[in-house]
Order: sequence, then structure tokens, then C-alpha cells
Amino acid sequence: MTPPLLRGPVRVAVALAVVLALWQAVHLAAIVPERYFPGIPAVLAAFGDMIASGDLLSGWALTFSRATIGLIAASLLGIGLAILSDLSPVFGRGFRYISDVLQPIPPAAFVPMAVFSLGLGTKLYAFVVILVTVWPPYLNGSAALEAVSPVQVATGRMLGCGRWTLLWRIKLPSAMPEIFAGIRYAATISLVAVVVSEMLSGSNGIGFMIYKKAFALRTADVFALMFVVGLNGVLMNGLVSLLRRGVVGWHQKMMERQE
Amino acid sequence: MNESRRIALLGLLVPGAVLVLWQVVAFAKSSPLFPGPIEVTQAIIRNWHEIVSNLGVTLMRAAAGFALATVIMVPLGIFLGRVRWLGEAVSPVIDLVATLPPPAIVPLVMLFAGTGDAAKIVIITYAAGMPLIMNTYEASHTIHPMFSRVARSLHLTRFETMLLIDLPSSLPMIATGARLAVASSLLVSITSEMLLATNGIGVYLQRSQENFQIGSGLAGIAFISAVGIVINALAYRIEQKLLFWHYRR
Amino acid sequence: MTDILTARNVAKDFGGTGGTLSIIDGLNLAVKKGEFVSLVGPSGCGKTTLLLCLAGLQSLTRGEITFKGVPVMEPPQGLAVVFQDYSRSLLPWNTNLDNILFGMRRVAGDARAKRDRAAELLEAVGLGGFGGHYPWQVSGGMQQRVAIARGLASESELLLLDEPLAAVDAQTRADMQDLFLDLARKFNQTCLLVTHDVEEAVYMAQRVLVLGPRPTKVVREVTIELPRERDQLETREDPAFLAARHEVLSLIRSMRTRKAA
Repeated sequence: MTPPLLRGPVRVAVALAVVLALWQAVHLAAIVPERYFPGIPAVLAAFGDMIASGDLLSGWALTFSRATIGLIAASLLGIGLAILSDLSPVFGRGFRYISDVLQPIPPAAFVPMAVFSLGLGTKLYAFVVILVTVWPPYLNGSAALEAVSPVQVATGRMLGCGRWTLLWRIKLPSAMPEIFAGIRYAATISLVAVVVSEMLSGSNGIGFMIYKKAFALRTADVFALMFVVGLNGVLMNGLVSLLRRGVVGWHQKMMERQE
Repeated sequence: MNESRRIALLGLLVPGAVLVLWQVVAFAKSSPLFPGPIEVTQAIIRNWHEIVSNLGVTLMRAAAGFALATVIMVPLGIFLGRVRWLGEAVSPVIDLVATLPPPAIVPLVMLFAGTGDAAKIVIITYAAGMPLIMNTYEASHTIHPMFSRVARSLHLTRFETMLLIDLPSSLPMIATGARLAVASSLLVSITSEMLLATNGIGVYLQRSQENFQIGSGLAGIAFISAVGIVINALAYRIEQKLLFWHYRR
Repeated sequence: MTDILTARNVAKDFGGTGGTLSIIDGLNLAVKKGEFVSLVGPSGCGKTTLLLCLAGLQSLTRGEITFKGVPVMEPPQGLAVVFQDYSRSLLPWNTNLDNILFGMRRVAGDARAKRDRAAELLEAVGLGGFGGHYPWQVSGGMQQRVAIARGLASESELLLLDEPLAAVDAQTRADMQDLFLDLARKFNQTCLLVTHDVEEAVYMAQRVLVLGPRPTKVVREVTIELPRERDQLETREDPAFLAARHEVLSLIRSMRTRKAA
């Protein structure tokens, strides 16, 4: 139905253009006071100024690297815990109690409690990000490992696979697509957790900058920074997709075929 | 059955071991800034009323935001799914906006709406609204063509089609969105309180920190967790009840 | 000729404290080296359970199964299974060739030689050009050929076939039966075919073992008095084929009517 030109990146670009045009129209119509609703040029200027001063780039680098490192650590931990749960059903069940309890707690709630023990630096970010990001890869991974086709496992056993070969050659590859779905979701959470932590008790990073600028009523700066937050999400998603294509490309092609 | 119960009981050893380890470390540190499970339990008993009243405020706001999001986003999603050209035009904009995590819009909303209830409810509505509209739209615009043919053969009006065909057949996916939305309402309700301090459990947590009452703070977190578990379980139950026709298939 | 696989007084119960369900009881059988034997029985008689027990994938309640004279406690070396559910037994993240190579894990030899052998087997099952394809890129019948090639690749002394042709269409089925017989003879492969299809059981085998209703055991042994060389048209019209088919079918039907009565 949609012309092919309007798919993918082009579609997003068109949508972006429409949003920007609407925005500028509202601004020009002066429905909202200038102070709260700067025009596109003002936001662009703010963006340019922050880039020129180097603030934006250094803040962005901090936020993005925190989120990325946190995501990698949380994903590896999640997969490790999922494997452990698969090897020992008792551990798996026991860890489910812990995940049930910890999962509903927002990252923001951990920050004030952890500040005294972990300080305001890297340790705090690592703790908060991993604690909220580890669940999707873990939960998806352990569910997928449990759901591996019994026929495949039987095939492996008939071919003399031991516990570890079975895990490495059959169970993990078969669970990988699900694990990656979890990592994709975790990527979003990780970025949010970092931004919130920076807002609450940071001294640098995009979250801190947004909060500071908002209190200083620098609206144009806030908008420019929010754009960067959105961009971060897109960038992170792109990176995860790239990795996913490398690791479970076979699954994506298989699904496309079945459609 | 027996085996799974045995595993469930043995599994309790895992959180048990974590609690014991935590208590041991807390003893070793013996610092009020690193309370153990015993201190947290005492704090729960001590601060029961304060926590419950604060959590009540938080939950009320979460519920208001969620309700508002449902009322706005579900009809909008159905509408966009049925009026195809509009849906095709608007959906990339929704995708674009969805890249903004709710906490990131907090400072912006603050500029417009201050720090009161209104500002927080707006933020919660946004947080709950995104998964709702994305799932509703996805469901209603990928609806099976057979349903549209049925609607046409029954001479339903557009409005009737949306209400009697599109909405019910989209419900399973809407329910998935609603589950996400419920969880994120509670989450964002707390986060927005911590950023725009007035009252609620988020403020309680921050006050605990400022007074170096980490035990009380962890007691508050324990309550959040319990409420989260109950609400998620409740949402799941309601979904199973309402959508029995979907799950029985 | 020596017995490669034996089952003596095998019994298998399921269930725990709530009450046990006896699936197999007092089952005896023996397969000789180089033979093609079919196991056939009424649906729901416990064929799959028996196959899993024979393969060492499930433990016994009583009795003993030996493979090459050694009691089977876990999947033994030299025994391979081709499962009915080919679409799920092939690994979708590996190509067809890699799937066959995976079947050669226990085979000695260097990588190059194994690769050549795997390609040769693909050729033998008529999939010469499809080594680089993934299983989900080829049709169901082709997938089952890959699974068969994988079974042969393991160079096992005994191939257990779990209704390997149940899920393919009639035409493919006939072709595959002949392909199977051809390969079995070429590689002098001992095969035990488990099936519910009486015609197939008789057509493929030199000996048909008929299973009784649950708790199952071998109730009759029918020797097929036909030359090893089979033909879809001639064999199926041969009086010996018809007689054997009649014997097995009427036996299974009598079980069903007795059960209903």
C-alpha cells in the first residue's frame, strides 16, 4: 500500500520534516509564548552553540558510553544467569523470586539509596543501570532455553553431545533470537536509567544538562538536548540491530520467509 | 506437580541466601548507611503509615494518568487504523516521538505545567499512552481483511465497524500494551515525583536519603515492589478474564 | 549373524504417586546386523516411548536393552535416530551441509574428508546443489532428505527411524521409500523403522514386528518372503506382499475391535 519510497529511513525523514514544519507553524502563530516554545532556528542555534562549546559532545559521550557499557554488562550477566537457571532448575526458580521482587522498582528509586554506598561516580551508574537492564535478556533467555525443541535436544544427545556441547551448539543458538529481542528492549531501558540517574544525582551527562537548563529556563537548549536523547535511542537501536544481524541473521531471514 | 513444588520450595533458598549475605555484610559494615534486612523490616513497621499514605498519592496519580491515556489513545489508535491514509501519515511521527523516554520530557513539562499534579499526570499519560497507541494502531491496521468484509456485508457504518469489529479484535494486543502501560505508569509516577518533588513515595525516598534514613528508604522500595507485583498480577488476571475467548482458542 | 539390538522383558511406567500408567510391559525383540526391521502397531500403543527407550533417551522401569551387547543407559555411540519432526530436528541456524557435518561429530577423520563425505551424502539423497541453503529455505521433503543424510552421516551401525515419512505427501513418500531402501543397501545399513503405516512397514522390511495395545509388547513376528530388491508397482502386487499385509492388518484390526468391545 505504501509506496516503497516512503519506507524505512525516508519515511522517518519525511515524518521528521512534517513535525518540524508543524512545530514552526505553531511557533509562528504564537499560540504559546516564545519563552516556552522557541522556533526551530532558535533550537538549532542552541544546538550549534552547545556543540561549539564542546559541552554537548562531552555530555553525549558520557551518557552514551555509560548506557552502552551498562547494556553490555547487563546483557552478559543476564545470559549468564539464564544459563545458570537452565543448568539448575532450583536456582532458576529461586532467582525468579528475586527478579519478581526487583523488576517493578523504577531505576530512579535506587539512586538515592545507593548514593551513600556507591558514591556519585561510575559505580552508581553501573549499579543502577545493570539492576534495571538485566531483566529482559535474563527473562527472555531463560524462557527460550526452556522452550528449546525437545527434538533438537534429543538429536544432539543421540550425536553424543554432553551438557556443555548441547548448551553451546543447540540450546544457546536456538535461544539467541529471543535473547536479542530482550537486549533490544534493554537498550531503551538502559538509556532511560542513565538519563534519570544523571538528572537525580549526576554532575555531568545529557540528563544533568537537561535538568540544569530546564531550571535556568533555557527552553531552546532543553529542546535541543531532548532531540539528542531521542537520537541516542535511535543510535543504540541501530547498533543492537547491527549486532543482531551478525549473530542471528539466519533467524531474521527465516521469519521473513515465513511471512 | 510434586516435583515442581519441591523445586519451588528449594528455590526459596536462593533469595534466603541473598538475605543472609546482605545481613552479614550489613553487620560487618555496621553503618546506618548500609542497613540489613532486619533494619529494613523494622523500618517497614515503623514507617508503615507514612509509606502507605505517600504511596496512595503516587498510585492515584498513576491511575489518573493511565485512565487518561486509555481514554485518549485507544480510540485514537483504532481511528488511525481504520482511516488508513491518516494512519500511514501519523504512525512514523508516533515512532519518532516514542524515542523520547518519559523521564526526558519531565523538565519540558515542568516549564509548561509547573511541578503540581497536572504536570505529573501529563507525564504519566505520555508514558502510558505510547505503548497503548502503538499496540492499538498496530492491531487495528493489521486487522484481517475478512473482518472488514464481514463489516461491509453487514452494512455497518464506519463508526460501528470501529466499535464492534476493530476494537474487540484488537483487544488482545491492546491488553499487551495496557500491561506495559500499567507498569510504566507506576514507574513514571515515582520518577516524576523524585524530579518534581512535592509529595508521594518518590519524595518520601528522597527525604529518607536527605535524613540519612537508608533503612526507611529501602522500606519504601519494598512497598513499591510489593505494589508492583500485586498490580501486575491483577492486570494479568483481568486480562485473562476479559480475553478468555482469545486464550481458549 | 549377531544381534545388534536386543530388548528383554522391557517395561516402562509413567506417573508418580497419583497412580502409574503402564506403557510397555514384557516387550522382547532383537535386530540382527544388516537387517531392515519394521515395528508397527495401532496408534497410541506406545511406539514413540519404545523408540525413545531403544535410543537411550528414556530410562526403563524394568528389563534391559542392549546395543552391541552393552546395556543401554544413555544414547550409545553407533546408534542414530531420524525423527519424524524433521523441521524441528534440523538446526535452523546451520546450513544443510553444516547440519550433516553436525551429524558426523563422532566420526573420526579430518575436516576436509568429512566435508567431502557430507557433500557426497547430499548428492546421494539428491540434494547436490543445496548444501549452502538453510533447511527452512527448502521444501519439507528436502528437509527430511537432509535429516536422513545426517542419520547416515553418523556412520551408525543402527539407524532408528521414527515415522520419518509420516509428514510428507504421498508421491514424495513413495520416492523416499525407494531412496531409503537404496541407501540402506548401498551402505549396508541396519535399520529399525517405527511406523503406523502397515503398507510401508511391509514394503520396507524383511521382518515386521507387530506391537499390541497398551501396555504394549511384540505380539507377532511376520517374515516378509520377498527379495531385498523392491519395486513400488511389482512388490505391491506380489502375493507374498499382499499376504503379509493382510496378516498384519487383520491382526491390528482385531486389536482395535477387542479394545472397543
